[in-house]
Amino acid sequence: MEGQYVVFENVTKIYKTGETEIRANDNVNFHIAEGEFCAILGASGAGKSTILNLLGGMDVLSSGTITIDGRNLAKLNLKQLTDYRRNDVGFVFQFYNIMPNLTALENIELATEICKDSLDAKAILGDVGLDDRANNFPAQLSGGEQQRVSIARAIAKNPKILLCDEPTGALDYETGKKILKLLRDFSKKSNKTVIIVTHNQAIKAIADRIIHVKNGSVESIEINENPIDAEMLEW
Amino acid sequence: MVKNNGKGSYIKYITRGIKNHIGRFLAIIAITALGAAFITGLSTTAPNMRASIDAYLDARTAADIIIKAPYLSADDIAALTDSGYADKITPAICLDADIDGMSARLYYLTLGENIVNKPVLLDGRLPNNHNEIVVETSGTYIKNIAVGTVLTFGVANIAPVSAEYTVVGIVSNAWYFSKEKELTYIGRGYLDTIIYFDISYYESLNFYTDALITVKDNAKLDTFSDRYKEATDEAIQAFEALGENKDWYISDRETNQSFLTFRENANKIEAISVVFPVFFLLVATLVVLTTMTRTVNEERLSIGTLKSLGYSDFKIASKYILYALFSSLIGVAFGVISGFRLLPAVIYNTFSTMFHLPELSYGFYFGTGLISSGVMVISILGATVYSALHTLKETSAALLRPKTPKAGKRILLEKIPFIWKHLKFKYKSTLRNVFRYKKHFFMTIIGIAGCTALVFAGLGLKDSADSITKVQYSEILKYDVCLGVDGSMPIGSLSEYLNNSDGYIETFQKMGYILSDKKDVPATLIVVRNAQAQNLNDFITLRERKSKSPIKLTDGVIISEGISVQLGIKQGDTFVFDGREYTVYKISENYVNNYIYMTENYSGFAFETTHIFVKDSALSGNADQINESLSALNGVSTSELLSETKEVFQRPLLQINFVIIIIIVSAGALAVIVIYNLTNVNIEERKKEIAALKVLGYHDREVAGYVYRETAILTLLGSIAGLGLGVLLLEYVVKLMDGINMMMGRHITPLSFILAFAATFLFTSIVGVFMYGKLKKIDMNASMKDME
Ligand SMILES: Nc1ncnc2c1ncn2[C@@H]1O[C@H](COP(=O)(O)OP(=O)(O)OP(=O)(O)O)[C@@H](O)[C@H]1O
Ligand SMILES: [Mg+2]
Repeated sequence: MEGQYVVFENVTKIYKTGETEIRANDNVNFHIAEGEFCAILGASGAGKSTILNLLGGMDVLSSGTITIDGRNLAKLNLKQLTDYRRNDVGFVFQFYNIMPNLTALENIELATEICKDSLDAKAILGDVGLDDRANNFPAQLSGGEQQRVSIARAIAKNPKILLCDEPTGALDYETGKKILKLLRDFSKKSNKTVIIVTHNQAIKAIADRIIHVKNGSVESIEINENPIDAEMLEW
Repeated sequence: MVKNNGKGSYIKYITRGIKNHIGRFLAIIAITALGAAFITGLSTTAPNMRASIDAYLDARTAADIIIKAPYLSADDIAALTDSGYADKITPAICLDADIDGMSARLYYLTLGENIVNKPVLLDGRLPNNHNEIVVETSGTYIKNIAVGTVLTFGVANIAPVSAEYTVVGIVSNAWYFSKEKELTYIGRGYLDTIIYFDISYYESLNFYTDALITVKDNAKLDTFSDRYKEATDEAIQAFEALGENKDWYISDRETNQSFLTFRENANKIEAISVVFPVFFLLVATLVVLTTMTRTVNEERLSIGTLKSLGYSDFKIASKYILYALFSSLIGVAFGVISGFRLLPAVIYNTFSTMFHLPELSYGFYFGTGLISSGVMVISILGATVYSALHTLKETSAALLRPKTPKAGKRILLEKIPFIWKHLKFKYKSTLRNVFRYKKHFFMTIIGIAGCTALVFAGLGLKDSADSITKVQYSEILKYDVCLGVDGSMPIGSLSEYLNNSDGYIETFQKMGYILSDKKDVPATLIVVRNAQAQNLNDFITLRERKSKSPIKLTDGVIISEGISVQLGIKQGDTFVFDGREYTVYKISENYVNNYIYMTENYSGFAFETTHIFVKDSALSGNADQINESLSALNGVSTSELLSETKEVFQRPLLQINFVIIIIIVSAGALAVIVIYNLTNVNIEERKKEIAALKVLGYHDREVAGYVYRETAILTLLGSIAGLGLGVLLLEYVVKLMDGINMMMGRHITPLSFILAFAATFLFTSIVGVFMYGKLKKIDMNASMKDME
């Protein structure tokens, strides 16, 4: 259905630690259209990462349904979830999570080697502007560059959705801006759904859709009719 | 991580550290326990065994010196007493005779509490008249004769008229505490029974043949010590002076077969009990020490955080120091306590098949165990302190940044693009991981190599012990029976038994010592007639050990390898035997006893037949069956069945084999824990990477592959290195175990190489399967959240 590429319906995620129950997500409802560049905002502990993790198949929900491209994640077993992560999801984290003992290029191959419709690793590395750093190890790259490798790795999988959890959290202003632009360009150029979790309200300006989360639930959803280019972003 | 201040949270921080790494903590306990148990147990075994026997011999007033003479008068005994060297002297008549179809040793002495070599009653009572006797308790060769049995015999020169004697008691004499063959010059060459008469009922007997003597104050000395030997030698010299011109033969415990075999066995155990445990402990220490270093490195971030919070270096380091201290001390305590009791008892018990043994007493022989365990704990603590301080030297900002591998580190293989290009990334990653940290690489390889080496050396030692009897009694000695004959005896009287002249060979044999400055090596000279030089090979294989190429007796004097090993003499060297000098022509393979072979013309002796080697092919019936008739022949003084000799030499090897099995099992256990520990540390260090792979959609099997490929390569390299190391270790231990009369085999079966190698891999696989669950449980979310 148009506009219903990603759908959260009454999603609840409860973490049990001993006696206590934490409702990290409490009856979350929203949907996102295909090709959208979407931001999830909210205070610390609001449940943003939880949403992303559930959507990314890294965790299983307690109740409700999550549909992506018509497929209900709640019905998948652990092995199917792994396959889903393998072929349909690209993940970018705050701390890059790239292998220290593999070069930039090899880090991308690490992902492309196992998934079905992957893109050319070398070309993607070029797309993120790291042509000449292909054979460098993470230790030889700056934080921003490492994050680019991580983004390239996620993109190269040619996933259905790209999930980013505070991708600019560890970067300085200029670098963060470049990263956001990169993600947005990717979304627009290849019509991919990109979902970004961030603390920074300023991302509102470039996102198509902004989901505000509070205390585990969706507080409000904003549609941005005229998103601006990332370079013009100020914060 | 510390969330709030205060003492409570700091203690929690430490206990949680242990809980989080509980596998590691337990592994350290297990490794240190195993190491400590092994070294304490093995190092105390031989001293405990010796001390027990020493106490036993003292308690039984076993003789220190025995003087044998054709005739010892009451005056002689008085002279010995007056010499002042003797504590107790028990005069006796002792002779070996054929009685009632048995080869017996007869003792006529005053039976009672206060005598030397006191026969202690086990059953029945002591004799009350001259027709009552007591007999020695049964062993492997000493027959079981029940109380009440009546034996009918006469004893030449003492009670020549045949009479009936009733067995009224069973006794045990510490002088005969071995259950093995007690040799004699009569019958088949060993005793069937030992009979004790109370001499007080034989008033006509007014002479003695033996004086059983304990030396003054010798009981206070350890019979295995040099001081004991010195004291005894001094007494012997004094007695020799008294016995001059009287044809006295004075001997000490060195001629007691029970004592000798026991000492030889204890020495062998001691030989294995030093090198192995020390090596074992080295491996254990190394593994634990690396584990601690890695633990500290793994927790850089926590350390950085604590540092930035203002915790003192001491307080931060103390977590790791306490962790190491607790685990290694618990391990050592466990190990020392269990090893101290368990191993000596188990090993000692196996000797009861060979000896009538007293209870094992546990002396305080912890020295080696405690010192080496202490060294182990100190090294572990030292390494922990060092790496903690080393890490703490960095600024907290540096610590909070993840430690990255040195820039541009590429491995050698990458310089060969032909291979590298074609490798899948996962192999590249594995190979880089393997070679990334040199220290981890070497520590892991050495740890695994150490375990493989131990397993291999254990197996190899078993091979060499096995090959002694296997090779000696089937490949080298090929005759079936060796008959000792009176020099005067014409071969004719044997002729009804020997019906094939190729089936036997006449030899001249002489026992003696090859003297050297270092030691005197007992050897048997075997001479054959010149014309029969070629024939000896049918009875005894003369060949070189390594090449197996046959040696011709026609060309010179051949010595068995043990002589060459003990004295360090080689081809072309000379040696002296029985006052004559010989030049070594060749050295022949041989494991048990020492032999010198030559033909009549090289020997310088006039040939007379003393022994005949006979094969079954020459006999009507096989030697085992007709041995009785052979030994009964007039002129045949002894007959030694090879099959029986083989048994005699196999038995002590059973005990050694048992110790070897303990070594193999312990080495295996160490290997399992070491491999578990290395895999565990490896997984915990890689948590982040493993989580990243999971996020990328790697299946559990693929993730396991990522970790296990690395372990497999390290195991491969480690076990290959281990086999090399094992060969060296084995060579060293085997040499230590060579006895003066028994050379360890030098043959290692290919199976031992394969087994040691396969065992290492099997252990790794088992650990791998075991750890698979842990890999599966690694939580992606948790690992993605922080940088640690
Ligand atoms: N594995 C877990 N076990 C228990 N509670 C958890 C777990 N993961 C998250 N939570 C709790 O769920 C709630 C939501 O966490 P979540 O990580 O989704 O927050 P967030 O919005 O991403 O916060 P931040 O912006 O700080 O990253 C928090 O209260 C958190 O403590
Ligand atoms: Mg979050």
